[in-house]
Amino acid sequence: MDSPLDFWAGLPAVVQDAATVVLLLLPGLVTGVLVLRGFAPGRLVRAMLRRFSVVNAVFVGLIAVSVAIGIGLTAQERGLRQGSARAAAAFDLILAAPGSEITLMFAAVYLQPSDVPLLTSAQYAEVAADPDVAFAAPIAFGDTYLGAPVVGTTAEFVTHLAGPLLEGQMFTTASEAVAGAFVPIATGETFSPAHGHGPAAEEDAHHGAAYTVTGRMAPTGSPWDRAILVPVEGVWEVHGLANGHAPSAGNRIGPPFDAAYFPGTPAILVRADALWGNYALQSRYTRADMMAFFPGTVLAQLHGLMRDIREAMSLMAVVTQVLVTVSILAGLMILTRIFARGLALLRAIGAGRRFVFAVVWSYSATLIAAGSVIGLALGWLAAIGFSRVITARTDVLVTATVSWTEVQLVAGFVSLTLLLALLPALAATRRPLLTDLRS
Amino acid sequence: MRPTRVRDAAGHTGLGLSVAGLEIRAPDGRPLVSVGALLVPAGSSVAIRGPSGAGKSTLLHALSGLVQPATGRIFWGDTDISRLSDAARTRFRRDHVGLIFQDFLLFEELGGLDNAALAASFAPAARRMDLRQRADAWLERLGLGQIGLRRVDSFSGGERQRIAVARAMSNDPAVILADEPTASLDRASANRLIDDLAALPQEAGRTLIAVTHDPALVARLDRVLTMAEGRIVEDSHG
Ligand SMILES: Nc1ncnc2c1ncn2[C@@H]1O[C@H](COP(=O)(O)OP(=O)(O)OP(=O)(O)O)[C@@H](O)[C@H]1O
Ligand SMILES: [Mg+2]
Repeated sequence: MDSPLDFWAGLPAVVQDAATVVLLLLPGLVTGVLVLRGFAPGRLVRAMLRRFSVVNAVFVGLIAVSVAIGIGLTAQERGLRQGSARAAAAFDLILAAPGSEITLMFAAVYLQPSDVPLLTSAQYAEVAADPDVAFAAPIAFGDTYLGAPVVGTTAEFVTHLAGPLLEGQMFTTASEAVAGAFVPIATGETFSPAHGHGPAAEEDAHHGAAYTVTGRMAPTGSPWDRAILVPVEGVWEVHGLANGHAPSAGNRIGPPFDAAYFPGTPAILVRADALWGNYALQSRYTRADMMAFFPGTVLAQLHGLMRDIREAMSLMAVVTQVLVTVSILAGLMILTRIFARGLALLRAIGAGRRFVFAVVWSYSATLIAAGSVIGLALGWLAAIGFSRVITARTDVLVTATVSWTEVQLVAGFVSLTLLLALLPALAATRRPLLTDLRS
Repeated sequence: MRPTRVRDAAGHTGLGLSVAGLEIRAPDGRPLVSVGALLVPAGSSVAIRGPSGAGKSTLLHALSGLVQPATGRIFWGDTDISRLSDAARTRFRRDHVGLIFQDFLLFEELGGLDNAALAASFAPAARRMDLRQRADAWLERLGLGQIGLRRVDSFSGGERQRIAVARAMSNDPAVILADEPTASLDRASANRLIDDLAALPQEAGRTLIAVTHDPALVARLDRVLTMAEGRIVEDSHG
C-alpha cells in the first residue's frame, strides 16, 4: 500500500503547490471561520474602514509595499538565476588557457570584455582532431560596432547557439556577418568595426575593413542577441593576422583550420558527439596547459554560493513583513481605542465580547488581506520592472514572474498575521465597558 | 413580592422591576447608590431626576446590568440580573432592553437604517430579518422612513435621537432605559421625542425608565423618583 508520502509525491506539481498554498492559508481561514461564526459584522467593519480611510489606506499601503519588496526580491533573484542559466545553456564545454573559469565564462558566455591568455594553434589542432569532438569553435573578440560586440566564430557554432536564422543567410565569406536578434542593424547593411569596447573604441582603427550583414539570428536570451557574429577569419584578417588557412586555400572559411596559420584563440567552444562525451573531454583537457569547464557547472556553483545569501534574504523579507504588520497591529490597538466608544455601545445594546472580538479582528484582517493581495500584484509588477532593467543592462534575458513560491510566502504571511491580529481583537474585548461608554 | 410577567392583549410580555437592598459602590469602595426597595410594575413609566452627581446614571446602569451591584437584588420579571454572569446580562440586554443615551451614540459612517438595525449584526441569524424589519418600521413610525438610507452624519440632533429610539426598539424590548434623552435637543425636537417616548409604555406592556431634567418629559410619565446623594428621596405619581 502507498504511504501518504508516496501519494503526495505522486501528485502533479501544480496540485502540490496549490495544496501547499491552501494548507498555509488554512490556519488563517480556520481562525476567520471560528471568529466570525454566527455574526454579520460586514457593515460595521466597512463603517470602521471608512472612518479613518486615510490611515487605513496608509496601513494597507505599508503592508502592500513590504509584501511587494519580499516578493519582488525572491522572484527577481530566481529570474536572474534562471536567466543566467538559460544564457549559458548553449555552451556545453569551454576550453581555455589555465586561469579563472569565471572570468572566462563572463567573457565567452556573457561577452564581458576581458583580457585572457590565448590557446595556441597546436592546442586547438589537438582538440579539433579529437574523434570525440563534434565541433570545436574558435572565438575572437576585440571589435565593436556602435557598442555591439563583433564576435568571430564559426557558422556551425552560430547555428548551434540560436538555431535556424530568423531571416537572411549565414555568412559565407570573411566579410559577411550575421546580426544578433536585437542589434539595430538591417540585413544588407554594411558596417566598419571599431577596435575596442565602449568610449575607448577606435573608430578608424580598421580603416577600410567592412562587413555586410546577410542574416539575423533568432533570440537566445543571452548577450549574444546584441552581438554581431562574423567568421573568425574576418576578425583575424581585420587585425592583420593570419586567417587560419593557407593562402593557397583561397577565400574559404570555417574549419578545418590550418595549424600553421592559426593565430590562437582565447577559448574553444566545444561540443562532444554524445552527452557523456563532454565529461570525458572535460577530464581529458583538464591539464597543466589547458582548462576545461562547463559554464553550467560554474554557474550552479555560483548560485550555490548565493543560496545562503538567498535564504537570509528571504528570511529578512519575511521578518520585515511581519515587523511591519506587528507595528500596524500596534497602530490598530491605538485606533481601536478611538473606536472604543462604539464598541462599548455594541456591548451595551447586547453584543457579546465575541462579537466585539470578531469586529476588531475582521477590521485587521481586511487590512492585512487587502495589503497582501495588493502587495502580491505590486511585487509582480516590481519583478517585471526589475527584469526589464536587468535585461537591458546585461542582455541576459531575465523573466521574473511571481511563482508558487511567492504565493506560498504570502499565504504563510497572511496566516501568521491573521493569527497575530487576534491580539488587538482580544485587547478590544478587555476594555472597561462603562468607562468607554461615558468617555 | 416580585412583579411577574404581564401579558397584554397583543400577546407581548412586559417585565416589571423589583429592586431590594441595592448597594452600588465605586471601585474604591465608596458607596454611590443605595436603594432599599423599588417596585415598578410592567407597563408603567418612571422619571428619575435629581442634581448632578446624585447617582441617576449609575442606578440606570445597574438596572441595565452594565454595572454589577455590591449587594442587593435586581429582578426584571423573575430574572435576577444581579446574579447573572457578564455574558448572561449582555444577552438579557440584547433580548429585553432598549437603551437610549443623551448623545445618541450612532455610527456616523452607517446609514440611518443600518444604525437602527445595528443589533442585526450580532443577533442570531433567525432574528436578523425581524430586527431589520422592526427597525425600518420604527423609522417609518418616527417619521424617518424616507431618510433611513442616508448616512447619519447628515442628520439633525432630533433625527439622530429618533434613530437611536428606533435602534432601542428594534429588539422589541420589554424594558426601555433612557439617560437624559432630550438633553442634547432643541425644544421643538425634544417635544417631538417626548411624544414618541410617552407613547411607548402604553403599548405592549413596556416599562420605561428615563433619567431626565426635562420637566416636559417628567410631566408625561406615570411616576417621578427624585434622587440625591445616591438615594431615592422622593417618589411621587404624576
Ligand atoms: N466608576 C466610578 N468610580 C468612581 N466614582 C464614580 C464612578 N461612576 C460614577 N461615579 C460617581 O458617582 C456619582 C454619581 O454619578 P452619576 O453619573 O450616576 O451621576 P448623575 O446623577 O447621572 O449625574 P449627572 O446628572 O451629572 O449625569 C458621581 O459623583 C460620579 O463621580
Ligand atoms: Mg447622568
